[in-house]
Amino acid sequence: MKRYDGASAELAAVDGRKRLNMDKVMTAVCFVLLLIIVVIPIVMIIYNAFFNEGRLELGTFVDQIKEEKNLSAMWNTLKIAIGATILGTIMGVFYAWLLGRSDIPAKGLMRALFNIPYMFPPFLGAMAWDMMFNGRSGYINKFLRTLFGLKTMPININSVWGIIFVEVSYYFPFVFMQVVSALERMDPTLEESARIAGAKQRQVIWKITLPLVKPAISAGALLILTTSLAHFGVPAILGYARGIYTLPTRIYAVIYNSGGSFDGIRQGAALSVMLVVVVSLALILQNRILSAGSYDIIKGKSMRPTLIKLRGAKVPLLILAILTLVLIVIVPLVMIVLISFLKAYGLPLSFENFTLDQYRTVFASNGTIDSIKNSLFASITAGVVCMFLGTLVAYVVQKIRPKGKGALEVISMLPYAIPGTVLSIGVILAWSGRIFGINLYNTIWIILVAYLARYLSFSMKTSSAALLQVHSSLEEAARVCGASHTESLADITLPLIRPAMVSGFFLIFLPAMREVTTSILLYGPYTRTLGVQIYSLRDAGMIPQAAALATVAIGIIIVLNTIVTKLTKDRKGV
Amino acid sequence: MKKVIAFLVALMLVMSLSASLAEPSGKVMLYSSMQEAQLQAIEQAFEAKYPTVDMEYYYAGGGKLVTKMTTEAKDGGQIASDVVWLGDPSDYESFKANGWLEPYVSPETEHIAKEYMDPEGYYTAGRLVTMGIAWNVGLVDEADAPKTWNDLLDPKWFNQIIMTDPSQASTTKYWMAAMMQSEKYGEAYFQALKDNGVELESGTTATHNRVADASYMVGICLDYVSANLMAQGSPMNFHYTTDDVITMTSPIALIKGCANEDNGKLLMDFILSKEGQEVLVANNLVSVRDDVEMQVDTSAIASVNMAVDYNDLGANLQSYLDKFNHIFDK
Repeated sequence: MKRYDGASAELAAVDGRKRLNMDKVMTAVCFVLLLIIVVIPIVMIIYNAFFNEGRLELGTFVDQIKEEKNLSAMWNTLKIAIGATILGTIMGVFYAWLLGRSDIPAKGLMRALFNIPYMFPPFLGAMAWDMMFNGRSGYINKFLRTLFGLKTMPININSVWGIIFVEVSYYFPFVFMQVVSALERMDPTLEESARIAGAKQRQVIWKITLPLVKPAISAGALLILTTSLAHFGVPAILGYARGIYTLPTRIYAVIYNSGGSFDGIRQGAALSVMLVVVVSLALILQNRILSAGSYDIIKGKSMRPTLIKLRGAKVPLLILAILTLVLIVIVPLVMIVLISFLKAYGLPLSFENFTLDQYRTVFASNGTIDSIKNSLFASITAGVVCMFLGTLVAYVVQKIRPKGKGALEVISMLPYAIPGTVLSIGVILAWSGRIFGINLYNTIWIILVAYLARYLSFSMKTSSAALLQVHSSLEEAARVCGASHTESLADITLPLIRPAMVSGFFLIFLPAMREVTTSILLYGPYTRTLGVQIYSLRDAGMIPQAAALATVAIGIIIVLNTIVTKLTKDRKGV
Repeated sequence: MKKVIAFLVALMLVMSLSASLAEPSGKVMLYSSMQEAQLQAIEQAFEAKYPTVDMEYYYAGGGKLVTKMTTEAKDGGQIASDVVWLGDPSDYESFKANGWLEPYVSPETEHIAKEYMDPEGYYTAGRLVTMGIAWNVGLVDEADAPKTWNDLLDPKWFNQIIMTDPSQASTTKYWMAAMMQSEKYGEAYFQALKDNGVELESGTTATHNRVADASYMVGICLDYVSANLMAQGSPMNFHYTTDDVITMTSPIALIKGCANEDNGKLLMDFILSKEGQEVLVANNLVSVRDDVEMQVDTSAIASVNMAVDYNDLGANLQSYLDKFNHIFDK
């Protein structure tokens, strides 16, 4: 690490003041942009939760904490997040082991399929499961009830367990993906030596394999936990109508019912502080339980590990994996597509009730076309801006290393830990005319600003990782040959990290395209996003129409993903 | 000189003539709580008649739209619409008091009964909406379906009735307030409904769909939404109550200071015209005009209408809503 400092000092000596200025400008730009995008909204939340018109006022905050509904929402948020984390982790690790280390057939295909839930917005899954197992009217529920002559519906998805189930089925890939790649990089000789020393299969798994991949498990579990705590879509669709609130849905309800009045937003800010406290507690708890150690024995190069022979368990486990895939990937998709063809919700799913009318209405609606345009605009712009800004921050932190680079890094990563709902409230407070009279409320710009804050850390992480691999000596060489700092940056560093920048773009563009948590609090009459439009249609009771738009959205997502896969493959070849 | 004057006069004549002949152009914005399919039908018919005017609409539940207008009008702001068309007439009394409306009496109102209009010309009924009872045809026989509001208190419907949350939908809010106001029903009636396990849904169309998808046997529902869903094939049916029918006039009004006032008037004229009202009827709505043919017999409904005291509604709406929310523990 010292070498970098020395190198940059030498470089600074090469062109003296000029270089210093360029670095200073970049550093200053970083600080100012991060101040505007990240710091101001967060400060506004804290300020408004505790202060009113310049005076300390804890009344709102205390009232919100004492309110019974908010407490039960907090309890539900925790139950759901912990449940989803535990079950999602178990499921992710199990399938990672099965596909990574056993001799189960069709591994490559299944691995690709197990990543699919990661692509889809969980709230579409929630919609599908609600259609099937709504506690009063689900289609499969009704079918089962008649089949077995039951008095009540057999399954009620509109419950805490229902929410956990749907979240698990969309979040387990977080753990799955991490653990699969860790298993691949693991040194197989460690397992072999244990076996030679007489350990049984089960002992090898428990004593060697699992501890080795613990950091990967821990990272994935952390991702499930924070995502679930902050998640709006699934609890909103499955719990809201049945009075099961979580903190994010409660914040939405408070803001919605107060009609955008300042009081409502202040209450939302107070609840946001509660949510941030819960997230922080969860992070600490998680850190205690799964403290991530570093294990050098996981090597960077891949070695071919010995596959565990499943023998008699092969067929049952294969069937289990296929059933899981069918249940969490195919069934919800089929259900949404079927409902989208239905003339009216509630009719039996038979051919004479099918029509294309819902698609006609969807495409004739200004709202829908606007929502697709809005989502494309906001997510492409956010992707491009974050790609450059994230790289800039990463460059400043990695290469320029100014005073306060730690602060810079923390600030840019902060929104990653802050739930989207909370970020939205901060953005409303900051940009609805209270600072320099800038009012972006009800415009697409406020959604864009929120996306920038929310997704900046994504591109910063990928660019950071890429910059770490670009040794300073490359830039130095260019400089020695007489290139200016700008030239060395443009001709050497940027081309080298371009693939990372592009993948950073897609890492932002794809989730922003299907996003609902942030924009549900920010949309105005003309600025519904695709996610918000689907949610509103469903909320207004137009379920087949919502399903039709959801099908269109899924189509868009599949097309975009295919393009991304193609592009990134090409890039690898270069 | 004469020639010049003559030329100028001619020029002015031509200009004024062309100005008066000039087709209306530009945009017009409508806020409405009607169903989107119906708004699309109106948009198509209006734009077919005035191809140079671009009509836009913003669709949301009544409660949400009032909230939205409140936000927009806050601190002297301008409401971003030209015309507003919601379900509940009592909302318009408060709009009027807030100074949001521009008086406009359309020439088309000669065919509209005077009691459907604001005496000061701030708003005019755009359609008639009546609350009644809907049921799922797979679960309930027509003969058994509740016929009066009190039939809903029968224990056989325990936990099987759905209604819309009155704070979310202006039509249900009006119905609730009218029932609260009545001596025959009042607070006790809603307590009895709650005791019989009535549940709330957040939007009008959602309520109807809960009846259609057999979540509930019976719903407190609107005539036009039911008719619309039934036309699409929803397995539900609807009838008016045999007494104490509550009808709303669903007023339409021009927004004060709106960006496209002329086009706003044009849109109001169109909606209130025979042609416009026929589009409504074709889309299962009930016309306010006396010269439009339709299946619903409005005079028969009017004969069993419950008297509603508008002044009391205007003054006590919030307290009725608070009482309702208290009973339903919201």
